[in-house]
This record gives sequence, structure tokens and C-alpha cells, in this order.
Amino acid sequence: MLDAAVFAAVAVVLGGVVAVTARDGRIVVLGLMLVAVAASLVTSPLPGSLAVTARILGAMLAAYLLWAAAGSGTADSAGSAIGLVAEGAVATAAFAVGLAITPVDPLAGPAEAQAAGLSLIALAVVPLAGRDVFRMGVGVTLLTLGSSLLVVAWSGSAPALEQLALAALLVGIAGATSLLIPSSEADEATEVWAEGANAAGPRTASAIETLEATDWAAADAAAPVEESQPIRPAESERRPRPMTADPLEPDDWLAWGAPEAEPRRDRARIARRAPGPRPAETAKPVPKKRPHTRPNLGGKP
Amino acid sequence: MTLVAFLLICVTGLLLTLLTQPYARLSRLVALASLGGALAAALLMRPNDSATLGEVQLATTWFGGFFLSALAASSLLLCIVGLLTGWPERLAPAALATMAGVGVAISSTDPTVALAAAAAATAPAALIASRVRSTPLGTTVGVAELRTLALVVSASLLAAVTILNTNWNSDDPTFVLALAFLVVAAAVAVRSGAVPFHVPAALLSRSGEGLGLVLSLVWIPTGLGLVALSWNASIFGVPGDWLDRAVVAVQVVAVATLVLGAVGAMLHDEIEEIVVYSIVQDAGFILLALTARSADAAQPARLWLLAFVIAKSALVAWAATASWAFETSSLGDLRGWLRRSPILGLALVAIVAATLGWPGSPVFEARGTLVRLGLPDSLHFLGTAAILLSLAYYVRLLAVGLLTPTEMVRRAGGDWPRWPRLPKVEDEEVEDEEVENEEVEAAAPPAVAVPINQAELGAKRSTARGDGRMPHRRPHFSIRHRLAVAWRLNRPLQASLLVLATATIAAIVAFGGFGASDASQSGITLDQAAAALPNPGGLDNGDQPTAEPSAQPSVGPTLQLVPSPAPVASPAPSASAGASPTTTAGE
Repeated sequence: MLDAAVFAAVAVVLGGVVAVTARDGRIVVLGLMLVAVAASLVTSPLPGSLAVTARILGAMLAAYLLWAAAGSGTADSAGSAIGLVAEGAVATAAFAVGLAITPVDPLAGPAEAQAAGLSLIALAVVPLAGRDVFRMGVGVTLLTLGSSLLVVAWSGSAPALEQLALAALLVGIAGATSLLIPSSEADEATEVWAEGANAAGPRTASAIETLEATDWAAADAAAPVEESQPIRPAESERRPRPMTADPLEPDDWLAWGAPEAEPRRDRARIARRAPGPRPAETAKPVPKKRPHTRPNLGGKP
Repeated sequence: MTLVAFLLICVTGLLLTLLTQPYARLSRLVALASLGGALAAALLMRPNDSATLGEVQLATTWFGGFFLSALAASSLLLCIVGLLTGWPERLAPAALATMAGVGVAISSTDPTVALAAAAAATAPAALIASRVRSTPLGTTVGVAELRTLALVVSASLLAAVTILNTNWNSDDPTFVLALAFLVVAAAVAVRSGAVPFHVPAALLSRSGEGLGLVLSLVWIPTGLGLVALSWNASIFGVPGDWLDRAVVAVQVVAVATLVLGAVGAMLHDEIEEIVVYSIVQDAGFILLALTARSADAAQPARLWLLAFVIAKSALVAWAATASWAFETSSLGDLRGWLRRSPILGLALVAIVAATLGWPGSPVFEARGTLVRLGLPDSLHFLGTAAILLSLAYYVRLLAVGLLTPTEMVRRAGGDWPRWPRLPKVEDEEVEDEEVENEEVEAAAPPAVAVPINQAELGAKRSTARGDGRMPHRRPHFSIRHRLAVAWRLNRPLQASLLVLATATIAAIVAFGGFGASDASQSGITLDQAAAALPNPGGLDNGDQPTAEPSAQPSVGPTLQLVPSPAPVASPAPSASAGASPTTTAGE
């Protein structure tokens, strides 16, 4: 009589073949989820409900992370170079070998687990040799699940904490893959980031120091009075951004109470104390003094 | 319960830090609070605490708590340094995830769980590597990181099953042992960037990761190394041709790492690359501890791992601070850095002392013991050679700092204390000027341009205001304002002091302080679980003591290890840690 582990092992292999051969990222993710869920059932006796639930939730979370990456449209797989039939043949051959060999005698777990594990490891070899990050993540996931199936076959059922650790490992691998996939959004964000960094100037120690210690009074006094423009330093003036600086980060995290913009009366002091003529007298003719008007609040005109 | 509290803090902190990522300040606060909580929980971890989780018993030891405290303290200090030099966004969650994984791994009584958790603890390195995914290096770094992850995970799982199983169909059981030894050593070597596998580490150093380097190259490899060393004497201590060949292969890698890592550090001019190659070189001692296959190597290896974690964290923080303070990471542009930042110089000296020690110091003796036990007699000179090579690149760093400062270094403030030079204004005059201000306000144009040297400085503020106007400074400064400005002016000083504090802690630990020497004798829970396992194939490891010698009982009576064969009294081992009766596996 066929055991549930046999069906689960077949499902593992089918899911693995789908994950390796499909080109649409979402179908790849579905294949991986099938592998991850079915792999938790290739054991005899079945683990406790808590362990199975942890594995299934882990598989779903891992699939969701990859789905999110695939949903952006940038994570489509390159698919298999040798095609569905050839990958299926490789998986079947590895499965047959796994059923035939007995490196451990007697096996502590079902032979189907060993067969499915070898099959997944065989399927993972080619993706791991490539340079497609998404496909490599698929390979890492298949390799991990294949290794875990070998553990089940050679050492018997795993305790619940190990199932939990495996679920966390799968989520970690899926998260790592989704994070490492180069995305077009990330490229655009980088361009915007670099643009902002250039426009905002470097956030460096000396820049902060000079900013704080600058005698703004003298600077204002010496400046020609012209309509100001958005300032962008010349290329030659830009300093190299140090590796740790992050221009997106607010730089006043620790600088509580730092001086803010000037109050009204500052202009008077700036104008008086600065050497030389007042700014308004240097470049531009002094504009007409505005009549001192107060809002008519209904009193005397 | 203390371990469970530690794990809960790590997991909760990880989730909250990731969830609050869009809110920069909140995320930082959560990250720092989580790391601080994890540090407190690790410091309060009782040696004989145990709890059952998922059918597996987790038990704490003195060294386990010490090691987790070292990890948490390093993470916290580096994140605080990151507040000043540039916040490493994903370092804190990755560190929390790694600490949770390592915490389970070193406290588990089930070896398979330990190796699975150790493998899971390596995955957060992708959080660090993912920051560069959109740079030209992004794909290469991503591929390298995933390949490393694949190798470490599969090696850990296969090592677990290989070590645990005794029913192999093999004429020579040492073949299986050799295979297990190779995969364990390969996992450690690949993750720590040992020389044939150093390309991902080199790529990371070029990608501007800064403080994030420490997670991938120091914290994760030491956790993995600690788990791998548990099998060292008890499982792999048997004689056998296949095992000897495997050990020779790992020795070759270790020697290449010790020599070529130092050469790489000497040849490169970017301080991140120097730091990375320095880390790679010192990771060679973990491989030497593996090749020793002796209980005598356990205590020095643990002490070395403690010193390695904190000293290399301090070195990474030093590099990040120097790059930030002088706005360059090129050694050519950093000429004279020591003159401008003497505190950073002191920190570097403390790091050198913590890494190398001097004759008679615990860390020096630990390195010497690992070389003596891990290499054949004809290669013992490599211990001295490694020290000299290390000294060479450290002295190079210091010597460059003593040269005439470059313009870039001169322009930077360094870490000398500074007080803001702000205009002095009498308050009385201000009171009299109120009326006149209105006239000037009306007469003055709404904004003025500034000279070019001021343009760059004001750009950040004017951009932040969004109106293109140049900001003005408030000439009237209260003492509170002056203190605030002084606080910001002295950020390089603060960062240097933090680096110095980290380096000092590293030096104290490396010299056996804070109880590091005693803690390193106690081992981790997995040591005792591994010692209780039979060897594959029923091999006996002869005269090798199988249980770690411990000066004091590290695991309480509640701990129930894997059922072991009947204990056989053996002669007291010649371990330096003092002898205790041990059990012999392999019945």
C-alpha cells in the first residue's frame, strides 16, 4: 500500500521540476511552495501538527517573499536551458538512484525521502552554477530542502524545533533572494538618491563642522545682493562621499536643540556688525521702503 | 528562562526593526533598544538555565552567555558608532537575527537542531549584501552571497546527518568522518572568507558596506566556528587515513589564509580592504582550531573567538570612523591621520594589542597553542610569521598616520575637542535694535547668494528649506545652543571615543579580563552533547579525551543530553584547563 510519503515525494519532485523549468517568476514561486510544503510531509511517521504547521507557514511566507519580488516583473526566471523533458529526466533518474542506493543501513526514515532529496539536489546544480540571482535563489532553496530530506531519510524524523529552524532558514533564503534581486525600482531609487546626495552636498564631519562654525554674518555681508538660485556645487567642489555617509538620513538625530533659522532681528545685527557697506548698498539699489501699513481692523482710517 | 527572554528580545526586535524601517528615527530607537535589551538579557543569562522548546532542551552555559554578550555588545557599540558616522540601516536587524540563531545553536542539546540553527543564522548576511544590489557590483555580490549561503546551509545539514549516523555502509568509517570534517571546515572557511573563498569578502569590501562588513565576516563565522569546534575533539579525534588527508587539506587552506590574508592587507590601499584581509587572516586561526582535533585546543580557541569578535568589530568601527572623519578611505589620502586623530590612533594600538597580544598574554598564548596543535612541527614558524605579517600592516597604518598630513586630512577636524567659534553679541544692544530691525528687514532682499565656498555648506539647509534661500545664522547663542553646536562639532571625537571604548573592551577580554579566561574553559552545551555521541562506525578516538575539560560544571543537573554509552573513566587529560573525569565515546 502506498504511503502518504510516496505521494509527497512525487509532489516534491514535480514541484522542483516546475520551479527549475518555468520562466514566469510566479509559476516558479508556486513550484517552490509545492516543494516546501510537500517536503515537510515526506516522513514516516508524520511529525506533529505544530511542526507541520510551522513548516507550512514558513513555506507560505517564503513563497510570499519571492512572489513579492516576482510581482515586480523583474524576477522572471531564465528557465531551463535543457527544457522541461530533460529536467524531468534528470529528476527521475536521481529519484531512481535515491531509491536504489542504501548508504545507511538501515535507513532511519523513508527511502522516498532520500530519493526526493537526491532529486532536488540534482535539480539545484544547474541554477547554482549560473549568474541569475533569482534562479540561484531557487537553487539554494531546492538544495536546502533536498539536504533536509536527506537528514530525514538518514536520521529519522526531526523534532519540532528543528522543523522551526528549517522554516526560518527557508524564510531567510527566500528573503535573501528577494533582497538580492536587482530591480529596476532599486535602480531608479539609486539614481534619485545619488542626485539628492549631490544636490545636498556631502554629509561629512568637516562639512558639519564648517557649517556650524561658519560666520554667517560675514558671509551675508560679503555676499552680493542678487536673487539667489538653488545652489548646486560645481563638480570640482564636490567632495567624495565617505563610504558610511548616507545622505538620506537626517543628520540631526543627536543634535537636539541645534540652532534653527534666524529670527527677524538678526538681519539688523548682521548688517551692522559686518565690515564694509551694508549688503543692500553694494549691488542693488535699495528698493523703495515699503509703507508701514497696518491692517485696518475697523478703527480709525 | 533567561535564554528564552534573550531569544524573544532578539526576534521581537528583529520584527519591529524591519517593520519600522520607513520611519528612520523610530527604527533606530527600536534597534538600539532591542540591542540594549539583548545585551542585558545576555549579561543576565544564568549558567545553568534550561528550557524545553519544540521537544528540544536548550541549556545555557557560562561561555554561551559570555559569547552572546560579546556579540550583543559589539552590535550595540557599532550601531552607536553608526549613529555618528552613517547609520547602517540593516545591521541591527541582521545582528538580532544572527544572535537569535547563534543563541539556539550553542544552547541546543540536539546537534541537528544546532547545525540547522547555525545555518539559519548565516542567512541575515544577505540583508547587508542587499544594500549594493543596484550598483555594478550588486549582481556579483548577490550571486556570491547566495552561493556562500547554499554551501554553508547544505554543508551544515549534511555534516549533521553525517556525524549523527553510525550505520554507514562503508568499509572505512573514517571516509565518512573525513567527509563530515571537510564539509564542516568548508562551511567555516567559505563563510569566513578563507583564501580560496575570499572573493565575496573582497567584493563586499569594495561595495562600501562599512560597518556591515562585521556581520558577514566576523559575527556569523564565529558563531558557525563555535558550533563546528564542538565536534572537534570528540568526533574527529580518531586516527584514519581519510581523515588525515582531509585535515591536511584544511591545513593548506589555513596556512594560505594566514599568509596570503596578511599579504593582501599589505598590498591594498583602501582601509576597508585592509580591514577585510586582516579579518580573513585572523579567521585562519579558527581553521587551525579545527585541524587541531584536540581537547587542548578548545579553551584557546574559545578565548580566541571572543577576542576575535570584539577586536575585529572594533577594527571595522575604526575603519568606518576614519573614512568618515577624513572623507576618504584611501591610505594615500589619509597621510597624517594620526596627528589629527590621536584617539583613533590609541584605539588602533589597543586593537593590535587585543589581536596579537604579547608573549605571556592569554591571546598570544592562545594563538601560539592553536598553531602548535593545528600545524605540523615544521610549520610552527608560521605562528611567528603571522604575527610579523600582521604587525607589518598595522605598523603601515600607523606610520602613514605619522606622515605630513595631506590637504584632505588637514581640512578635516580630527578628534581634537573643539568649541564653536560664534560671534559674541551683547544682549543690551539687541534690545535697542528692535525698531531699526524692521527697516533693515524691509530693505534687505529676501535672499542673498553666497561665495562659492559657502555655497556647498549652505546647500543642505537651503535644499531642506526648499526655497533656495541661504540660511542665516542666529548670532545670539545661549549656552544651550553653544553646547548643541559643540556636540555636533565634536562628533569625530565622540566616534573616536566609542571606537576606543570598543577596542579597550576587546583588549581586556583578550587579556582574560571580565572573566573571559574562566568562561572560555566552560564550553557550550553542544560540546557536551557532541561528547556524548558515538563516533560513526563505532570508532574509538583512543587517547583523545572526548568531553571538554571544564573547570566548573557549566550545565546544570536539569540538562538531559543525548543518551550516551556507559561512561568509562579515563586518565585525566593534559588540558590546561584543569582536568575532570571525562567519558569516552565510541562504545
